[in-house]
Parts: sequence; structure tokens; C-alpha cells
Amino acid sequence: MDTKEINHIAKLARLKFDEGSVEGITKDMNDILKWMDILQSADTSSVDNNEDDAQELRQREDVVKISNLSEDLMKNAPECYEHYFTVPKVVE
Amino acid sequence: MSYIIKGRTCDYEVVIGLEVHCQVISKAKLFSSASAESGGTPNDHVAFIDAGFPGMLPVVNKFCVEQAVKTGLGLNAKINKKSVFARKNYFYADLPQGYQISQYDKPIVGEGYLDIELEDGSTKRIGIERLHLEQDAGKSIHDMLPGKSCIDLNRSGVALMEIVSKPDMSSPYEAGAYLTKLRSIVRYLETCDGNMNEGSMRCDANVSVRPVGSKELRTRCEIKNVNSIRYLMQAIEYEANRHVDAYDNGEEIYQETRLFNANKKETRSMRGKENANDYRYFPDPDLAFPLVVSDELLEKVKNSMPEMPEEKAIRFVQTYKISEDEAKRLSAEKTVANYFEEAMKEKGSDGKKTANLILVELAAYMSENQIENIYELKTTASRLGRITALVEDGTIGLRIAKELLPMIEETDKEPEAIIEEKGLKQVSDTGEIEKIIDKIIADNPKNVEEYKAGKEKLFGFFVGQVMKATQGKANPAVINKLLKDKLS
Repeated sequence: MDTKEINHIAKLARLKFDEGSVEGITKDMNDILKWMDILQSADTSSVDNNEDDAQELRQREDVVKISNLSEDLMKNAPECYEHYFTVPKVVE
Repeated sequence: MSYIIKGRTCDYEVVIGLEVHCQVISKAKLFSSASAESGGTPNDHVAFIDAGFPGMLPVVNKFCVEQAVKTGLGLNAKINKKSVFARKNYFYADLPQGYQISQYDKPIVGEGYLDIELEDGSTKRIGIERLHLEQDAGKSIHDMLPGKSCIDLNRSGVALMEIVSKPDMSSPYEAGAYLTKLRSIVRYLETCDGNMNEGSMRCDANVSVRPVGSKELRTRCEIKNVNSIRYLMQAIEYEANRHVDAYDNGEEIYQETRLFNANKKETRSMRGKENANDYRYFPDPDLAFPLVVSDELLEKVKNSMPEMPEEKAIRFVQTYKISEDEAKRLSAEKTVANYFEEAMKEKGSDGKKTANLILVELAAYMSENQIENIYELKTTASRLGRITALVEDGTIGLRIAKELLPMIEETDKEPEAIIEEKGLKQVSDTGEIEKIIDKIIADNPKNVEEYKAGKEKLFGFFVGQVMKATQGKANPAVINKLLKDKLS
């Protein structure tokens, strides 16, 4: 990964780095990816990966159990108005 | 009938694919047990997981899975025994998790199709690419507070089915017919209420053009959130012409997302959305195992499939002796089909007349008064059935039957009461009609002469005069017989 890619991902993740730190982060990211490569190279051919034996997603019934949580939800919100969360205006 | 746009150097055809989001009818949300009901106090139907609180685990709602399978079967599609939920990452204030749980490379439903009817009555098959399950986002309200957007998460996490068509449509009409058919299917299946103006069914259109006969796919633009079938058709028409103009002027079309402005009937560029691969899809580790559609579930859903529009139309023709065209039009909307059958339960009602009054008279009244659901009419199915029964047994004439409908809408009275009150019963008393006929013959000697001289068209004039004199209450069969006798 180069600094250009790091900057792109940072932008998508809404992260802002100081100019000076981008290079260090690029190096860290590349080191992490190298570790991933090491993991990828492990020989897993003997591991049983039969999908039929794999577990399946747990499902729940279509029942409404939760309501009137709004006060609890609002407790942690930085800003609210009436029953709404408020954020800086998203559109012009 | 092909839809062609004339360019300066060549003729162009249009290539259209639709992505339709259908809100699933269920009690609870896709991954939480908060209510999926729309409206209500803001942020009341919100579980911690819908608000993106940390440490919460999503568990999929079994019924939403069933609804997706049912819709897939209704679209003649392949049901995938195993599918996978993935995270689609993007930032927006009404998406508190920072990602939408969706399905990416392994959707629950694969390829299928639906058939639409074209303007000339022929049928065209439109391919379905896939159907996948995903979460809806919350709602942002931008005009309530200055400088702020207000967020309501009641809709956050409600189950959506995204149904993606193949780029098989080639005119605004076909796109409109596809969306109408899809809405009819989900309403029949009761998997989505299909109400576009309330946002429970939303449509994005991918539009491009190409020289007639070519098989290339040129750059397409995506038109977002067109909230009615009419707007969809207008948006496609505008967008296709915009592409042709651009190519005529040697300009390029850029792949982008555009918004339709219903007032100006044009599309305009939205701020460029991140490219598809910038969503950085990856399998959701909170839902790491595959979603399995068991054979038992598939069998259960198959057995619960209702009668679909095409089958219903065939049965209507056989049971009620109406034409194929009438049967198709009656069964296109489930509500109309149910209304018709309810009317037919009335003793003595007639299929042909009931169909005609629904498809012509009531349809015109509904469109004039912008009534969407036939069940909102004061002319209930039972009242309509009784009216046609009264026509059948000769109590009233067909013309009076038609005139009764607006009177019922206005007064909400029973048809029998109005007939009694206004004296609308058909007059079959020959003596009374005879007197009227004698007077008309005496008053129109010139017409009588011409008729006798062979101008047979004038017979209609005499019938009309009798009808007028009796305010439409005279029995047409009696008039015909008496007139023929008197004029011969």
C-alpha cells in the first residue's frame, strides 16, 4: 500500500491524519499486511472445510419485544431535539 | 412497438434496468425485535442494535426470510439454499452502524423473470438478476431546525428486499409495466404493501442508450428514488434524451447518480457517490454462518403460495363468463380482483355487467377523484353486485345502473333506497310506453317518412327520444318491439 491508498481509505473512514504521520501509518499497514500473508501461507489442506458440516445462522421468531427505549437511547446522544437525534445539517 | 430516439447521426434505443426496494411486511425488524411499523413517535421503534450501539448482536428474523423466499418463488426465481450477509460500508447520519447489513455475492434469491404486457397486447419476458435482503436506513429531516438535520431511526433496520432486474427493458412504457407488475406480485403475495407514495416501495433506474441494432452497453446513469410509476417513465424519457443529445454533441456520459425533479421533469447530477468497490463489502462477522433455506421451509412456502394474477384471470373467464381481456384487467390488482369476486357473491349478479361497471364507470370515477383503493368507494362490492342483479331481473336499466354509482358515492345510500326515492324503476308497462311512442311519432313526421323510405339509422333516433321522455327508465327491449310494430 502506498500513501495514496492510505489517504483514500482514511477519507472513506472519515479519519484525518497529520501530514507527517501518513508515512508511519503506511509502514504499519504494510507490516500488518505482511503478517496476513504469513497467515495466508499456512497449509490448511488437511483442515475439514466441508460446508455441509458448518453451522448455520441462528434465526428468531417475528415477535416485537422492544419499545419505548427512546429515553435510554437519547441519554448518550450529544444532541437531541424533542424525540429526534440532531446532527449538523447533512444537505444544503 | 419499439421506442426509438432520433439522433443526428443515427437512431438510438434505450436500455433500462431497475432496482426496486420493497419494504418487507413483518411485525419486527430484520435483525432486531423492535417494531417494523412505520410512523409513530420518532425513535420509539428502535432497539439498541438499530441505533448502532456497541456490543449488540444481530439475529435474523425468520419471517423476513420466508417473505423473501415467497417473493422469489413469485418471480419464478432460483432460491439459494445458502446465502451470506455482508456489510456495505458508508457514512451517513441516518445509518448509525456506519454500514448497512446487506447481501453481496451470495444473495438469497437468484435469477428469475416476470412477464409484462406491451402496448400491442403481446407479452415480453423481463429477467430478474437477483433479490437480496438488507436493512433499511433511518430518516433524516432537514427542514425542522435551522442548521441541523433531525434523525428518526424508526425505519432503521426494517427489512428490505432489493429486487434487481436485468437490463431488459427498452422503453419508458416497459419500465412502467415492469414496476406495475412487480407491485401487483408483491401485493398478491402480501410480502410488501407496494405503496410508492409512502416509500414502502422505491425504485432506482439505470438508463443508457445505444445505436439501434448494436449490442454494446454504454455508460449508464442511475436515477434515484423515483416515487411513482408516472415519474419513473418521465425520468427515463428525459434521461435517455439527455444521453442522445450528449452523443450528438460529441460529449461523454459519465457514470453517476442523478435525482429526478418531478416539477421540472428533468434529472440532475447528485454529488458523485463513491464507486461500487468503495463500499468495501465484506462478510459480516456478526453473521458469519450462512443463512440456510431448509427444504422444509421451501416446501412450506410453496404450499402457502396464493393464486397469482395469471391463474386468477383464467379462473375468472371460466367462472364468470367474462372476456379474457376483462379478466386480465380485473386480476391485475389484488384489491380489484377481490372486490369483483365479492360483488359476484350477491344473488343474481352478472359477471359481464359487474366487470364493465368496475373497469369503465368505477375506474373513471376513481381516477377523477384520485381514489387508489377500490374499497374506499361508497359503492361497496355488495352494492355493485346488487345493482347488476337488479339490471338482470329487469328492475332497472343499464343506463340507470351507471347513473346510480355517482349518486351512491354522494349519498352513501343503498341502491334500492335511491331507486325507490327517485322512482328509477324501469318502465316495462307497454301501455305507458305506447302513449309516449305515439306522441313522438306524431311530433316527428319528417323522420318517420325518411325511416319508412329506408333510412334505417333513424331507428336509433326514436329509441333515444323514448329514453329521453322516460328519463332512461323505459325497458329497451319493450321500446324496440313497440317501435318496430308502430313504424312498420
